[in-house]
Amino acid sequence: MAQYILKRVGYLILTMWVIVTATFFLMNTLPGDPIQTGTKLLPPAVEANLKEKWGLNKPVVERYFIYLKNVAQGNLGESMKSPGLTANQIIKEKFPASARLGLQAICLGVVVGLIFGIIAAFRRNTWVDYSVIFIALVGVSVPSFVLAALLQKALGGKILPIIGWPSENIWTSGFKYTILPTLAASFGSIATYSRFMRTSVLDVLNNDYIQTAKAKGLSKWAIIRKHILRNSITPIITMIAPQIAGIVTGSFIIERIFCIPGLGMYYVESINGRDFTMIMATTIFFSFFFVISIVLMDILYGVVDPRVRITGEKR
Amino acid sequence: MGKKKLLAMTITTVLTMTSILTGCKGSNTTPTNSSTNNTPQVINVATTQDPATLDTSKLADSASNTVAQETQEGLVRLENKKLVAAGAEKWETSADGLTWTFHLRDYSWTDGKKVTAQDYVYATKRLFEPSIACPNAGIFYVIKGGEAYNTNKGKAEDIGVKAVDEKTLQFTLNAPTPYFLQLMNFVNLLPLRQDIVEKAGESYGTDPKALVYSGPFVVDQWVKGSKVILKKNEKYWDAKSVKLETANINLIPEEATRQQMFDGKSLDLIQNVKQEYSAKLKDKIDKGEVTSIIGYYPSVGYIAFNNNDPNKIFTNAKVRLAFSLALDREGYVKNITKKDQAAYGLVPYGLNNGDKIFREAASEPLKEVKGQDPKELLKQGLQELGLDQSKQIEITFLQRNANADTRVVGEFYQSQWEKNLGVKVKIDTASDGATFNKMIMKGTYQVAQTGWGADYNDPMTFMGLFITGDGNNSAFFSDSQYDELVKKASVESDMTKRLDMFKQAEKILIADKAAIAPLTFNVASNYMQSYVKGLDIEAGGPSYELKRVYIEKK
Repeated sequence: MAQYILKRVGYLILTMWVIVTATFFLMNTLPGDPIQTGTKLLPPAVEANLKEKWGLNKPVVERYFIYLKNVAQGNLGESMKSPGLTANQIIKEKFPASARLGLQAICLGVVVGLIFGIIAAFRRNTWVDYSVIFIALVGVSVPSFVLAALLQKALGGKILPIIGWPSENIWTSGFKYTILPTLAASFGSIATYSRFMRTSVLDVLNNDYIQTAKAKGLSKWAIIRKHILRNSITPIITMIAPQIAGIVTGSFIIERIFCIPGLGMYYVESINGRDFTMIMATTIFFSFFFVISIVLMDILYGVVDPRVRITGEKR
Repeated sequence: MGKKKLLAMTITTVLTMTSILTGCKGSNTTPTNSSTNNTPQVINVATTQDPATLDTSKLADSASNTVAQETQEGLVRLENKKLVAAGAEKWETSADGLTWTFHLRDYSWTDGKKVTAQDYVYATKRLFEPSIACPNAGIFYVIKGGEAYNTNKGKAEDIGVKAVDEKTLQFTLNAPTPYFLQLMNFVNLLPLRQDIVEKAGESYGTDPKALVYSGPFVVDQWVKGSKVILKKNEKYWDAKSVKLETANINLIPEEATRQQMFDGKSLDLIQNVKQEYSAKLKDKIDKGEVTSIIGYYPSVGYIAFNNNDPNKIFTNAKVRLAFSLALDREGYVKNITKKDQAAYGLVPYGLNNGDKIFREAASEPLKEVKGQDPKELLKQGLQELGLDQSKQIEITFLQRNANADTRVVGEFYQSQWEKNLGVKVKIDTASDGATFNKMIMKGTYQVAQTGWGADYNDPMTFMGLFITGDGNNSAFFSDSQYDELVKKASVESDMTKRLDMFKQAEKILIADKAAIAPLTFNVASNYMQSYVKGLDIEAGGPSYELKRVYIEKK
């Protein structure tokens, strides 16, 4: 096990290096730079000063090695668009909002999605099943920004705040602010999970061991808990991994519509503004999260499904 | 001193597009006690971008500009379209126009220390410091020694600014600059406390608690990516004029959200709204629930002809005028942009030449030549160029991007020119904004639509653009008579003479030589709840001036 984890960490570092390198050079091939982003041309002297300040007057390769050295020391640099703030500070400040929204949305999405999926499978070809399929269809088809706007119109204003996010005690306070964004962000995953869970449960239901369990006279609940849930949840775990990384690091659209000071909005804005430091920093952060969650999920597989042998033994 | 340097450029047009608009004012009556007694003096406004920083030497964006202008007191303040004494009580100019002396008022920072001339000297020197890399530095190159220091060729001590004593500040200029006072309203020249800046070091401007303030408000809280909360500054020298206790500046990037919140009265001011929404609000205006402030942005949208056109066609003035006159501007603003005003000149409404509004004294030059037949002009022009008349003329219009709005606009020009001139118009699209700008500035285009927003409140900010060789001379226009007129106007202190020079120059640019085809003067639509009183929107000030705002009984 220890050897396995060590190997995975090695791969993780390699993956991160590839990502950093690729992003760095791709970013530098983007037309435009962080200095001449406006429609007005800066006087050459002012432009030169700005380039000097951000080290943009050095050749790309030299900048790459400087950057690599800084990143290895955990220093992601100073934001070019918000002078005085370091990327580390910005991520530290903005990540909690995204993370809270993401975690709430995932919990809601998984729990409701799984319940829906199981109910639909058990009530196959009844109106319950059809309604779940309908919701799933709507859920994956309607973009989250439409849903967000609808939610704002329907519930925002009088019952719940239209926009905003708690600024103090960011993890615990201001639950009412988080309701609409959480709903909007989770709707898609509710749909996806319920659909997948339904199919997965149906597969499991047809297996002989379920018949055996029934024949043994186990209660329905015991069959669901011990046999169905455990066997059908594996594909869901596969899906959760990238989704956690994606949603916890921020959903651009939801954050923008509900004015949530999260990382997702910042990510897109930094690309638009060619804020090189922040593009790199957010990409590294995002990838790191993604890679870590995949490793964790791989380990989790073994816990959920003993058939998966992480130590590499032949089945 | 190159005129080019005067034409300072901000890092984005956003600054000028959103922060500088000409003032039509809300009511400015003094509140009676009964009206403000029980009503909480709180206003909720929106910003579309988070402020970049509170460091006034580094900022060049509209959101930061607004916060800085509301919380610091510079030498002058804009009120009622005029610069009035603020941090300075009075000022005088030397006879040669090269020395400006400001006498400071007795006023303080929030930590109790007096604001001194030294604070202004420090701010001035700091904005030129190369390592600070102030994006607006070029605007202040009129100050002696500023350019040299900014370009690493001079020393900070040689900059033409000094504290004669605690309360007397003196600037020395390279040449007489009639609009120098307008520059004193710039955010980058707000006073700065050296000890506070040095204590915070690199992070100065990121933590509002680490700053000291001298303006009507202080930054109470800045939740980055969410909101800025301003509170009344009780130590402000003119605190008795400030009725507002709190201003919540919420970051709301989506216009639809802003509209919904304005409808629900959780937002008190909505700015730069689309035409459709303006129409919706008409009912509420009639009922007196909403007040409107319609003003001009001092910015112009125009078609740039490449005067150095490699295909020769647009090197001819008559051809250019033909293309300019072939456009139905009234139809364009009515049916295509559905806002703005048709433009027949370069300098927009609302900019001052001295004390007077320039555009009110100078008629728009294109109006006077409107009667000519574009087809005939084109024919003459082609003849002058010696081009074959029988061959179909084909030109290429370069558009910035291919989004829905741009496409409609591009197709409008295409149909107008094809219909009114009988030429064939091809539409090319740049891969993105940066590429578009590059193509324009390098002159690798034939015809394109672009624009310009004022950097300061003076026609010079527009007229200086088209001087031969200016970095932002997108049309590559070059005319010795024009250059001479504009250069003379830049140092002329007699405003009547100056007006005349600008008038002549503008006529050359727009009518005689038709270097560009002006299209639209942007119109700003701002609306506020009718219980908001005393709100002011000025050219060159913050996006909104809150100093005299009060909330009447809702």
